[in-house]
Amino acid sequence: MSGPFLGTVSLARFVLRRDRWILPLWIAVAVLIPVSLASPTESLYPTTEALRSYAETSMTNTATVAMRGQIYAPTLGGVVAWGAGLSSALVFSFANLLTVLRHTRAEEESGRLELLGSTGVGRFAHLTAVLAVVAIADLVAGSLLALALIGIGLAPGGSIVLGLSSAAIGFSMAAIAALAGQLVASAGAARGLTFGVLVGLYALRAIGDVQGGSLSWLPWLSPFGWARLTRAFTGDRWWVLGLFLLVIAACMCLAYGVLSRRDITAGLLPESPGRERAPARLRSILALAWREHRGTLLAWAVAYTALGVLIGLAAGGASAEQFGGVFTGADALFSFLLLILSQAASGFAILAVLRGYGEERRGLAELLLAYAPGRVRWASAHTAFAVGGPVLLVALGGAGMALASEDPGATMVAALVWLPAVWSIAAVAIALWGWAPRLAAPLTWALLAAFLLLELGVEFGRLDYSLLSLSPFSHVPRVLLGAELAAGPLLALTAIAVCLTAIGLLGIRRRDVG
Amino acid sequence: MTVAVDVRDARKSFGRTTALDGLNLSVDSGEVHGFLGPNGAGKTTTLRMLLGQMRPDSGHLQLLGGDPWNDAGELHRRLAYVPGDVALWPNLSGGETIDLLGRLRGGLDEARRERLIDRFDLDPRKKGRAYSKGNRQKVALIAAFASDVDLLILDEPTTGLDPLMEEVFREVVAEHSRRGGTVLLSSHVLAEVEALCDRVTIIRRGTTVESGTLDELRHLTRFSVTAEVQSPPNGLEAITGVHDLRVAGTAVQLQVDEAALNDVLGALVEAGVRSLASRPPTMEELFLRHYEHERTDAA
Repeated sequence: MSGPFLGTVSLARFVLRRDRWILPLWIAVAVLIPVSLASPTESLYPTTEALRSYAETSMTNTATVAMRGQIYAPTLGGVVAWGAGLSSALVFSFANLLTVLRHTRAEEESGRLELLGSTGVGRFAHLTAVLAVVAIADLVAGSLLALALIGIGLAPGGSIVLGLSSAAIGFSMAAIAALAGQLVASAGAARGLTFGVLVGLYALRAIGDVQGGSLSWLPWLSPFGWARLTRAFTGDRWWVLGLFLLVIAACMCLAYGVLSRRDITAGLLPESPGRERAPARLRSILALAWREHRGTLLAWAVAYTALGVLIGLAAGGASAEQFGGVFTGADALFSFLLLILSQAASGFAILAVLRGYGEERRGLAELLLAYAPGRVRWASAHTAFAVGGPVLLVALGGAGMALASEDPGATMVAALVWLPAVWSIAAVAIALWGWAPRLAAPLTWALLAAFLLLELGVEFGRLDYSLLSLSPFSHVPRVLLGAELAAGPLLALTAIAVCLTAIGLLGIRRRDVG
Repeated sequence: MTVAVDVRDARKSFGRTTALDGLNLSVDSGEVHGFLGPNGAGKTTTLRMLLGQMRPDSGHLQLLGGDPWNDAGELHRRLAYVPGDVALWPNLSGGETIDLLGRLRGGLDEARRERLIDRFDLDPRKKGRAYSKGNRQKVALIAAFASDVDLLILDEPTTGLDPLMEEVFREVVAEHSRRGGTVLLSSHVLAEVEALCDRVTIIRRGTTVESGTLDELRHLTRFSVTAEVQSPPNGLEAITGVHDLRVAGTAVQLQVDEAALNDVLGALVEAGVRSLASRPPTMEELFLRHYEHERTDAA
């Protein structure tokens, strides 16, 4: 290849080499998760009758419909495609967008791209190399997924449609990430933007699926809707795959267009100059931490508010129905989504702690601590955002739902009770930051992921129910589902969080910093 | 005269690597002290211990009469630091960073801040991520010099500055010194050390190898002698303290320890001196001698 694409092949090899562990790993996860969710279906529901009644029960659960969409036909293929479709779509999406941004904007921000760019590499080579690698990975993972489904005895046509849908949604997110990476100048902002788009698209589909009726066209606006509308095993609509191609083509055209015009390291818009003098309030470590965290916090706050309101609107229709006289469909949906929102808020808390560690690793703490009094105060400033940020987020998400709820007070309480569980995750990150900073990111993320997988495993009957108590989230009373608002577990979780935080701050006081 | 920095027998290891192995460093109040050593000798580790960011495994550390680890809060109001590799907050402008650092310490001299921005020719409105290495260095230097402090700790502060800015740097160090301030300057730019420093400490592999004024150090080291004589000289190789002797017919070149200079001159006079040049070692020779050990030892 030549001209702007000069060097694409060697850069693609370089990307493969850097991702030689993570790439096979995500391909494996992308295949195994949907297959392990789908394969027990046949043994659990051996008869047509059993499948039909399972499908009917599932469709009355608003939360399930919001998360996974509609079952188009109560056949084995129909239920498998429903069970596997969107979870597979999410795994493919996350893997694609993270890979693309890590190799494009993050690389550019770190200055490494400039180094590579000086070695006779075309302007489009880097982006093309990354997109080529993820496209191949998507096709490999999609094919393996199709083969695995054929292997468990499903129709080849439907299996291939499901495999291709997953690859297509994955690569759509890759193209969206590629565009986001061209528009904004920082990797963090690009990641936030892409995640925001992903959440928005997922919500469009969820609302359409839950509301049905006059809003049933909404999923047609979202690639996550298309991932189901290809109707694997229930009609195999191949032409829907073309919609993905349109989105991919549009995003890639825009991304390459911006790339051909902009300066390296710049975004689409030229960066506005900063202030000549610091505003009067920028005079403490806490004020500095606010400057560092506020962008992310604001973006998350907007997303939580929007999600809360959307979920509230979506549940409006479901609230009249009562289940066993205890709770309504809306309450069941709220209860489930509050769990998801609080787990995502733990992600925010971990990121906030890691920002403190990042300040240390990048040499900012070295400069800052030569001027500012006290490393504990410095670490506490970041801790404040790890603790306070989730309070704001969960409250905003809860408020959106409370607006649509019959008992707003109870909904707010049901939202806020998750906070001790969120804090306990944040506190693990802080403790590790204090004593084994290099392990803070991998261990805390792995822990959160383990808790999520534990829930999935228990939900699908793959793990014993008693294991669930290992997760802090399992100890939070689900007030909306009729559980008693017990103070004991909440106080215990808070106490654990306080202790771990204190231990972490003590570690930062004792160890070498920077 | 009081002592601003006093480090005695400091030791520090990271895992199995020994960073400091009995390091001594003493800086008097009011002096500009050069701190020299090859890469990896332990300069930055020492400075970061003085800032209370790292703790020695053993040894005595005192800074401005206090303990760098426990009294960091009070001590940092009286010192300023410029790291060797300045990192800035990507979304804070240079001007904001200077103000923030100054305020965190407890205020800066407004007039001097303006003058420094002008002299260092810095655009204070650029965001941290947009500055080049030299400009990031300038931001940290202005933040350091704009405040009234007793002690400046500078870790190779001029890497990345152009020659014009290096000149400005020398001027502001000299001004700080005239105001009675103390400077601990780790540097690789020997001309800079020669121009600015009253005393220097040379370290190697975590140990202090020499310390003193430049004149004292020169005395400790060798003179370079070049001579043209009438007949081939005798007995030069037998004199202890003669090094790198090269005799080509009547041309003689050698290095000699100060103590043996007289004997060498005697031998040369005996052979009949036609021309003679003797000069004290340059800074380069002084330091290269210490750095050379590093290479030989490593090999």
